[in-house]
Amino acid sequence: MKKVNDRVLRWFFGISGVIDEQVKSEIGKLSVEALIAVFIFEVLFNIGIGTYIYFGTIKDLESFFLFIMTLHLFLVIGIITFFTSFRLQRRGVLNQEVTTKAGKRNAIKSILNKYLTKLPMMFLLIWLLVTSLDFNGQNFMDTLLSWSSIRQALQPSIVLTIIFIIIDISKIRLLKDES
Amino acid sequence: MNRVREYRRAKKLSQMALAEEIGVARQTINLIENGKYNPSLDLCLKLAWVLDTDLNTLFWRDEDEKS
Repeated sequence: MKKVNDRVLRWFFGISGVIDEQVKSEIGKLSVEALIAVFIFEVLFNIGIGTYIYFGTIKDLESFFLFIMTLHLFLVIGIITFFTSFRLQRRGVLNQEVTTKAGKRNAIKSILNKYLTKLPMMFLLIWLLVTSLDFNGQNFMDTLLSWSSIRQALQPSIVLTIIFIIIDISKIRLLKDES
Repeated sequence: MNRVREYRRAKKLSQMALAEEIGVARQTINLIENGKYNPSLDLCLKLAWVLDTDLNTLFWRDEDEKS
């Protein structure tokens, strides 16, 4: 169970180094802060939207609803990203530290391995998503096996993999080992 | 504060080597040495074990530090 928890933490927060009690304690503190921030945001956002709907004259309620839903999604993702990425990065929790150049090479190799083995799965997920969201009225299998669907899934998979690899490599810090 | 840095240097260990020995991140050792993180009892015991000393010596505050 501990291993599963660590894997979830590693995946969700993007931690590439060791997950020890201090890292968990930092995550715990930031998670509570994030929870409070999301709670305050939800209360204010809903009061604001409620007041706007009550006093404002909305002509197209459907478009307004879709806009608010999208805005809400992006703002919540923004708040969570602020706490999980930027603040953890500032506290040095996300860094992977190595002391030798060989260690750095090994770390880069393991990052490449990690993302290259995940690439087919990411491609498959994006492929299915792209096909499901393609409302052209054709048969699902025809759309799935069409070259355009494969291309539409392949491009973001490769781009995202490259971005993730660059981000992870940038977190590696080569330290001078003081004995 | 504590005497982790003093004992680590006496054992000629780097922060990284000590961290690897007890299975924590280097930052954790750095924070403990600078008194910015209070380790759990389990971690204190591991530190004392690796540094060949006991908890009292490693983490006991001197009388002048109290005031």
